[in-house]
Amino acid sequence: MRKLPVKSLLFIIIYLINISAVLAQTGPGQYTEEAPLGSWNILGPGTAASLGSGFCRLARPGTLGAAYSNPSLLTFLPPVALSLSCSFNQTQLFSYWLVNTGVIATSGNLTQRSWQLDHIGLSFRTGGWTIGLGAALTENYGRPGLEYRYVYNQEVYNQLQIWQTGYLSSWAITLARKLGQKISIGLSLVQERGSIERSLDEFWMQEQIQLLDYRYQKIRGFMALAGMSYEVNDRLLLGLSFSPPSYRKSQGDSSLSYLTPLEEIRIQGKSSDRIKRPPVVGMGGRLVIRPGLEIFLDAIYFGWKQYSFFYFGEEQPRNFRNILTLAAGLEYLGKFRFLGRNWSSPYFLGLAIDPQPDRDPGSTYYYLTFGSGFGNASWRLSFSTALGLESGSGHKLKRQKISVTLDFYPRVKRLAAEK
Amino acid sequence: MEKEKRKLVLIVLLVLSAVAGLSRQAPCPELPSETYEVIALNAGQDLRSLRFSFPLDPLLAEGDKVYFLIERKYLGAIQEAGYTFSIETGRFDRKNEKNLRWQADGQGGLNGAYHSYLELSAELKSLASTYPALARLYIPGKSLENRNIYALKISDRPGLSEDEPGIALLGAHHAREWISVEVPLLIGRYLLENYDREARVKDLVNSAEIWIVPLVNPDGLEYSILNYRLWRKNRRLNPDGSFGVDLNRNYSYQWAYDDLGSSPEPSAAVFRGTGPFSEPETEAIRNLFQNHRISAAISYHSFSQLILYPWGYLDQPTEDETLLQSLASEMARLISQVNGRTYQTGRASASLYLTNGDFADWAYGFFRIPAFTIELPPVDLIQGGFLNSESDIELIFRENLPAALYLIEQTVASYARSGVGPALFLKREFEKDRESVVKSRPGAVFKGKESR
Repeated sequence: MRKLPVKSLLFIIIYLINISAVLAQTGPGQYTEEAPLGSWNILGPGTAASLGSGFCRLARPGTLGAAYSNPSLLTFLPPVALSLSCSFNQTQLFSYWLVNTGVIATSGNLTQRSWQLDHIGLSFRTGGWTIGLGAALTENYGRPGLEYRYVYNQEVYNQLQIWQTGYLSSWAITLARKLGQKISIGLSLVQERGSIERSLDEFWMQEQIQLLDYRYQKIRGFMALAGMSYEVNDRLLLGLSFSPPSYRKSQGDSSLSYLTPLEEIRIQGKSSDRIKRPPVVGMGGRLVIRPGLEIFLDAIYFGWKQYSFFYFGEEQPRNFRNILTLAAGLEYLGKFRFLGRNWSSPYFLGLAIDPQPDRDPGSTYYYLTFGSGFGNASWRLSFSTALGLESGSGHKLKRQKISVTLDFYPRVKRLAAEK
Repeated sequence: MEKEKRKLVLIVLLVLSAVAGLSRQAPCPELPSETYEVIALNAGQDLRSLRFSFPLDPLLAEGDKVYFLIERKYLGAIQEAGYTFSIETGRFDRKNEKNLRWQADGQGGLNGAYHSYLELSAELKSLASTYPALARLYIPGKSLENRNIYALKISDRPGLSEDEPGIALLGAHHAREWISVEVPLLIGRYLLENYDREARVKDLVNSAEIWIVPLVNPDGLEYSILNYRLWRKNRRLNPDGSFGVDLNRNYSYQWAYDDLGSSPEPSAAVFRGTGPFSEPETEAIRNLFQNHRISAAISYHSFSQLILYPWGYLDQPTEDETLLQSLASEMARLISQVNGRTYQTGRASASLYLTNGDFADWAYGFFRIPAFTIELPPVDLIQGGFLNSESDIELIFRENLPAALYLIEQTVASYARSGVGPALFLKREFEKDRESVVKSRPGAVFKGKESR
């Protein structure tokens, strides 16, 4: 047991430097409005512990976010657990919608920043079953808004404003159970709800002409996720995860208006569309090197070739390839005494490779992640960051995510990690 | 390899079409759909032998598939002969096409009653399958993003290249001019639907080959629908990072004559491209003109209510100014007769602005055919500019129909007067990068001009 959390302080210092220095992040495949910010390859919300160790989550007990990646891992949690995660995201984009696709050109990448509540979850054990409830913000469709003005003879001649917002929230109910000593299984049913809203307003001041293009889509979906974990021995844990192809439905409304002093032309549309999501298969492992030192490996396959996207009645071509993401992480659990109590302090380090499904441009994001935290038998606060750099599009897009997670373990005497 | 395969398929199709046309004794405008199926075969199969063994009517080659219309009673025999095929009648079914239209019209997709690329494809396929004896769908080329550029040929024996003048009606060189897709498409549909009802239509279809190319710039149109309504050019990614080439500045005649009628700047709205026919979309139109005897053409645009004729690159009259002006004036008069709307007529360079490398100059300059640019309503930005209300589609089509029929009629009459037989047809030579007309174009209103 050490007296001072020196490593924690070090990490906090690195954080502070990092926040001020890195102001731009990843923007994968943002040529389409349905692309989530950050990455297409999303398997539930990122909590600080998994984010810090390279996004590894398939064989990583101790986090309620596992309900969205490998639900069987909820059996490893204390009898009652609560979790709250939030994050700050900076995602860099180059081409999206009409930005850098021919209408508006920017001199460099643009950054979308957001604070968000990523996940709130609860699990409890009753009989041999562990039941989990969770709500997560899994996808964000926001884009940097822009305003363009064309000034001629010191007068604004033409003005264009665009903005897009949107999100997808996932509401999960999980049932998990241990089968004997070594095997656990779990199933999550996830209800998805969200929307995408975007607007383009263009004005020609001299002629008093307005062009207004507004679209709103309400998204509803459902997916199932099955998971299994197998404790090969005291040191090795394997995790498996499978999610079959799922569907989202989208109800769309559109309005295109051209308004002049003499004319009012409107084209209004409604649609009921379907989005087919890819199957996801993942496998992960955790190896205990020595007490307090663990490594994690995850490989997740996304069958993006099966993805299809209908938009206002028409299927849109998406030239996607299947994807395998790879992640490796490390966690060291330090212990110390402070204010007369026993504390633990995890330190995370990880790497991840996150290829994007779009073939053109084919791009991959490389992540370095790290984090730390502290806590005692009743609660734990973790904070991590992921720094991503994109390669392939030619724009060297960057992404940063800082995640903070607070876990509560009511009436639990020992930390889950101190098994 | 893929290109060669596609070429081979097209050649086979053309041969089959010719044979099919020759073997047909009398035109059959509409076939009872209950007894017919559309089947799709892989192009790798021996389609030539198949065609000689069964009365197949080729409809369309798309990708590695070739679509045929056939009486249902032959399906079993074709299967027994060892051919594998899939029945694709539903894809061409008029009912399906209506569903698509309904989705666009009633439910109102992003483009309302206007056609997107997919809706247009469905409509053209439906017309070709509904009127197999009068219409055939060709794909003279593809766009940058690999969309088909369709050309619907309407004639009494559409599978045959007959001794008849061709008239091309083109739309949507410019993506934002949605109305310019609808007018040629509706004219085509009108000709097919009224072949049996109107003697005048029947005569024209019987004595001409009418080519409907409603969408020259499919990639641009999709971008205009999905992303930015006022997009004009195609979707070429230029070396400087800007997008688009103005397809109506990319034709070879007097291409880059000056920087007023087109621009060398890639980001400019009238960027002419890196060379004449640098874009696959204009190349598709060149293919169409090189391979078929087009004798007159209208390229529909919007807006301004103008009927323009060459030259566009230079404010000088052509040698045929009088005739061109007289044709344009008569077309304008016919339009005005419908609903009183006035279309001004004139030389393009003088009436609108200088344009070089545009379609009409090319069609007239190289082929010496009457070629017009019709700028559809409205007359100015305040009255809608590049946008027309959905209810205007029908009105604008109706007012333009008599003018189009008049031009077809004049072309047929001129062709008949020229007295040129089939043996002398298509005495033209085309080099890879430039066209040279070595003989006057039979059937054209103008005679005896050499290429420049």
